[in-house]
Amino acid sequence: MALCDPLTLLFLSQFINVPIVDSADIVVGKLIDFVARPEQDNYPHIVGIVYHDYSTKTQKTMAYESIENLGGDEITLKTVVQKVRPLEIQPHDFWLKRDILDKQIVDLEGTRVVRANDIRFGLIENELHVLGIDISTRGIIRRLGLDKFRFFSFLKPAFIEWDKVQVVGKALKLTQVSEKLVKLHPADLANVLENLNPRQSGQLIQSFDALTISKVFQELKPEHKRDIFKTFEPKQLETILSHLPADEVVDYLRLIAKNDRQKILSSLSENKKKTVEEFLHYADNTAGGIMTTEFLKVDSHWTVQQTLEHIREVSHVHRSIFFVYVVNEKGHLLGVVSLRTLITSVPHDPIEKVMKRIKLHQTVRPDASLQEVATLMTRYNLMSLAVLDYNHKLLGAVMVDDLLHHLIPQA
Amino acid sequence: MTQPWTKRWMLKIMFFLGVIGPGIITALANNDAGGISTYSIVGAHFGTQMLWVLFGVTISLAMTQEMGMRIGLVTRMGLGGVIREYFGVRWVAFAMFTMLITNLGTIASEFSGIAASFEIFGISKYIVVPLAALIVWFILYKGSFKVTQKIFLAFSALLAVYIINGFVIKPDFGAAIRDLVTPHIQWTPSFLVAMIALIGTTITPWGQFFIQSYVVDKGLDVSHYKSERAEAYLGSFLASFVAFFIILSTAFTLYKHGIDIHDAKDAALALRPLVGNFAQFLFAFGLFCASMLGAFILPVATAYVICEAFGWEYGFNTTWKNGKFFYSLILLSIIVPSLVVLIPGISLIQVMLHAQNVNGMLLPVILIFVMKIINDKSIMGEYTNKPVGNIIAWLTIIGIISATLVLIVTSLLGIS
Repeated sequence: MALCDPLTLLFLSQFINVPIVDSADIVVGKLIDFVARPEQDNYPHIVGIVYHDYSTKTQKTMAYESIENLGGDEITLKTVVQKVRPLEIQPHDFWLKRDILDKQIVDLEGTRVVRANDIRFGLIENELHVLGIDISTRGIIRRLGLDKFRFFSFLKPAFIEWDKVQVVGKALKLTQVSEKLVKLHPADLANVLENLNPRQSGQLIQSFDALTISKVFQELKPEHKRDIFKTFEPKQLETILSHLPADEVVDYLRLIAKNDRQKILSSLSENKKKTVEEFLHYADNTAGGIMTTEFLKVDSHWTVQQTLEHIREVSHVHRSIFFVYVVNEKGHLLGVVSLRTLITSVPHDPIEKVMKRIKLHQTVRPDASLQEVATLMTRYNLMSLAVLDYNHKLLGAVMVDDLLHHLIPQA
Repeated sequence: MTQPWTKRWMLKIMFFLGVIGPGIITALANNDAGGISTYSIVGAHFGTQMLWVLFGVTISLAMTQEMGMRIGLVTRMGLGGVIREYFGVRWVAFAMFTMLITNLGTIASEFSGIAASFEIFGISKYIVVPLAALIVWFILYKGSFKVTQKIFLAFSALLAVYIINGFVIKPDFGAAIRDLVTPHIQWTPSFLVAMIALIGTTITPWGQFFIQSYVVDKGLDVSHYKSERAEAYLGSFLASFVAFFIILSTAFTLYKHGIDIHDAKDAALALRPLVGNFAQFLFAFGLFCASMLGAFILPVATAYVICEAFGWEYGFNTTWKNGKFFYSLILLSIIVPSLVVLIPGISLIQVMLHAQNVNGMLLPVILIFVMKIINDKSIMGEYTNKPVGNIIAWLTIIGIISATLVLIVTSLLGIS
């Protein structure tokens, strides 16, 4: 197979509607689309074309091997049209124009949602592959046929390589969700979901595992939380809610109609349901409303060694661990130990000996205002603030990041 | 702990405004500077003769708004996005260019409205317009768009005074209703300009984009179709209901006494029977709020739609570097219209009227896209148009195109 000039950049848009001529110099039809096949650890391979056949006035496919030369003015075939083999389409094949061109895609490196203005091809080991996507305004200019004006040369082309692209929409079903996407910081992932249109963000989040969903969920803005959850079946919703910490479940319940709450509450485990119901009593803008139960607490009789082992065991369910609260047998808060203290202490020392005592005035009641919480955290330089009930029992903790989310909601 | 009564009262208003949907918001936003001035001129210059156009336009508005809403519910994309994905770059560039032109015109008419409302008190537009442009930019960039929008929306509901006024002037309702269903037409440019403007201010290109984006942003889908349809119809009726009374108010005061509208002061006269000397103040305030509302919404809406269609980054949380197109488009659509309004000697009323005229002439472009989309089974599935909707929409499109052609011919022949 030959190409007119191997050095020029090849773009999908150059070939759309280009006439196809067979070996007998008969104009067979015009090109409509390219069919690409995903490959493991490689760029998708172009396996065929879709064309409009003039003689039958129908849409047909053709295997790529039949093509002699792919040119911008005409596409020539190796044989006469009668001998051309139709393409056997496989389930994961996708069409470049139909499924990707002009659609929204996710740029995994820039973690943003952009549009596929053009698609770039290239030869790898003498076979045509999809190298990447042109997301630049230059791509739009090229497609508008304005490329010949020097004026637009200030617009620089910008490509995203195929392995840094996540397709969405219809094409998502045909390809896999990139591991790179799932590995993005949950906040970036949430940002991507918020920028996609609701249907696509719904489809994309559907393709994540429950753990990723629950991490992303915590970063979404409230209105998006509600919208995205609408896309789940009741059964899926249950799984996801079981992965969410109690305070996030409460946030979700606050977003939905009162009548629907009961149904969701009854699907939770007994323990979680109790916590959630308790949390629901606190107003949204109080310490109780934003506190979490996602922290570690250990008994004051434990040793440093025991505590460290406990952390190793349960660390996977926690977003982050910076400290451990120490409580007595009645559940009263005694003090706090930082990770640093734990690591640098003698392993068999009792935890009570190494912890820092917490005074009552360094804690809050659940009905304390956010202002009060922020004041205390600032005054004592705290990353978290313990929330105690009227019997001094430890209920939860307000984390500095959750507080910031409430104080600066638009961030 | 009790909250001060003002705060509770504000919360109640916010809540109310929070639950009203796209149909009603579009209806309220419809009666902007261009709407008020066009309806006033239609009534003052032609009496009730053009009410039949309003009647027809109400039906088309209900149909087109319902279609835009339906496309939004089914595709869950903005109109620009749908055109891009199904028609490609060239068509979307064409549609975006059309929308940009009509929106710039409409924004110019909003700034004219702001200038005109202050002119009533003798304050120069050279002070008011730059100041308003700065305020718009500042609030968009630094302030809360949503809260501001709601405040101006609430105040622009003041235009309901026209309804009361419409009864106070004791108009000949019988004649008005007769004109509502009896077509009159004059083959003169001034009549045709006013007629196209009347259509163009009621069914607007931006209104089509707006209602569709609105249902998408609210996260609504086809399960909300029935309630959204009812609201789109109700909203269209409400919009025209106010328009009807604005026309009545000017027809039975200004037209009756042969007073033409040359500036906002003249238009304010129509409210005198209800509020006496207070009319000018009330008109100015209502016009100001309605214009400010449009001046806020339109630059952002324009930038959002274009950026979505071309895949540029948008939103006020992007940096200047990443969002350069977004910010440039907003600045462009604030600065260019303001400069137009600042041209010395330009008639503010004429800017408002002719912007609506341009809206009307270019409306078919957008409506044809809407028609192509809504009748495409591969996009709309089972939600394609019924024949009735198609007939009314095509009649609207053909009506506007023929009115535009006749206008061009009569203008060329010098008939006035």
